[in-house]
Amino acid sequence: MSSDWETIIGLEVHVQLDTLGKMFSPCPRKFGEPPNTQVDPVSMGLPGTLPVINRKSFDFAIKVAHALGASIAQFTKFDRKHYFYPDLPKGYQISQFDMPYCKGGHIPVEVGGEIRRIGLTRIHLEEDAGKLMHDGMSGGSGVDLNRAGTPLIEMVSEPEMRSSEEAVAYLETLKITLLYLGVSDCNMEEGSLRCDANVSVRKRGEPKFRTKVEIKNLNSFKAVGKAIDYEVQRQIKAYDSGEKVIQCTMGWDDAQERTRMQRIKEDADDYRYFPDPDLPGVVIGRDWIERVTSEMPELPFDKVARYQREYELSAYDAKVLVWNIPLMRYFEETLSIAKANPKTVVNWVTQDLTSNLNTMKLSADESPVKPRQLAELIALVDAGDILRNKAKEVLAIMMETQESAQEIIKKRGFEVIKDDSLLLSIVDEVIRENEKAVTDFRGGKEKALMGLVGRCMQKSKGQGDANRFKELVLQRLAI
Amino acid sequence: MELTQELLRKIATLSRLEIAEEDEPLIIEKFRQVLGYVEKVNQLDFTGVEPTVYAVDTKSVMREDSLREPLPRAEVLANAPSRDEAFFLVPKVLD
Repeated sequence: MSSDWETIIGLEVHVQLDTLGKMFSPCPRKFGEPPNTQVDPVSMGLPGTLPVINRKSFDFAIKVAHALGASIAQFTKFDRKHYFYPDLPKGYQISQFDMPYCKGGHIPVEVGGEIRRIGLTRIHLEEDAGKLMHDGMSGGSGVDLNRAGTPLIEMVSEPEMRSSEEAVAYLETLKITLLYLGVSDCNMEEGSLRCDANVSVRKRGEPKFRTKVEIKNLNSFKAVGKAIDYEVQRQIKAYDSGEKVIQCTMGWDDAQERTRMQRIKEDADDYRYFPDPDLPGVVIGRDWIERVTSEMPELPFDKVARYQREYELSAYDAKVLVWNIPLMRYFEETLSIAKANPKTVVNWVTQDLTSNLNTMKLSADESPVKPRQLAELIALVDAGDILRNKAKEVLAIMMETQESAQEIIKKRGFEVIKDDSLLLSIVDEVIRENEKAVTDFRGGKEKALMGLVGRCMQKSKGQGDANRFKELVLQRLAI
Repeated sequence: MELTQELLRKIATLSRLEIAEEDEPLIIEKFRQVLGYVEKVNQLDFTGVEPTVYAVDTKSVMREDSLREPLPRAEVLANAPSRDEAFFLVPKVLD
């Protein structure tokens, strides 16, 4: 990107809240069910129905606000946002306009080791719309109301991101935070996390923003990054060739990797908001906030900091664990059982276990070897019953056969050779067979010693302790 | 606020209402009466009065996150003017 241009990005993220029922009725809202089977009169907007707020959706929303350091309103209300679209049965969406339940807050974003706090403008609660099907319909579009009425929070950021990397990092932090809070599964493919990006560019030092373009249809974090980069280049090119950038909505075409204009915004959207007369205002008292926030989990950034502090992990190791929830849980459980050095457990979990899981294409919660079994293996290494390298082999066998570490070690004779006379016989054999190395060592070549130890290890099939071998070789050669 | 023909037409478009041209003067007149009434209220002195969102002072009630059986699909689609198997069918939407 040419350096005299600056990128300005703001993100709007919609997140479905993981309640059993819908926002305003006790209607199930399971994803992937046959069309129009998760529907009740309220989701259809039938005349005479009345919405009743699902308390859980507020509990979740309050948790999110609290986690992001936002300020929660004492009084909030719902408004009707009017527009006509076949997936919106009432002709309006119940949303929040001028008195959202939450304002402010921020999301820490890490790019290149540097952490920046991106401000949030607001978060509000609203209901989701239904879904339209265009393919395979006999001369029209199909409407499926299963999704209609699902509770959503819409999170609007300040236009504070300056690169696509920051935008993607923002989304990653947001997602992991919501997953820790347990308020949403954040599955982008199933639409439980959706993102629109507002993108503009300006010359560095310009005080004002230029025209922004809204990009929709971003179905993965990767698409968000690519779409922003594409749009930034498009806008710079337009300005450089003396054209204007028109305020519009663009759709991201993932196959062609380009944005396409969907709609020009001639005048500001006119949704004719007004307070929903069916829903009186909501007072969010101290006690409610305290009840909800008393069950807050440790949040990802706090956990990373604690891992670094308490377990002396590198920032990288800590993040690898914390950003992968099944792996983090696996680690914490193993550590609590094993009572071993945390760094040792981290290495087992992030290296040996992970590489086995990757080969088997499993996540940590699907691991055939459970934390208790791994903890046993670690304890055997710590007790000096098996060598670390051999234990690696044992873990691979455990993953396959699900036998216990002890069984495998016994059955295959993997125990550490602790008998010095056995070790000495190996050492003597090696000294006999490697005259040149012995001469080299005696002639002052330090390196030759490690060669001899290596031979000993080989002969012991990895069951002799290298340090003990070294001591014994020195002992023999000193005579 | 001055209710002009232009504004009336905009409101009609937003509301998807079709208003015949000959009906416009009558509707504008009625609209003006309503706005005039609000204008009168606006002339009152509200110094020191906190604005409220609702006309009545009630608090919202909430329900717990429990489930009820959804409607059988046959009932969901029973009154649909047009349908395609499991879906409501509407004129093709391109956007």
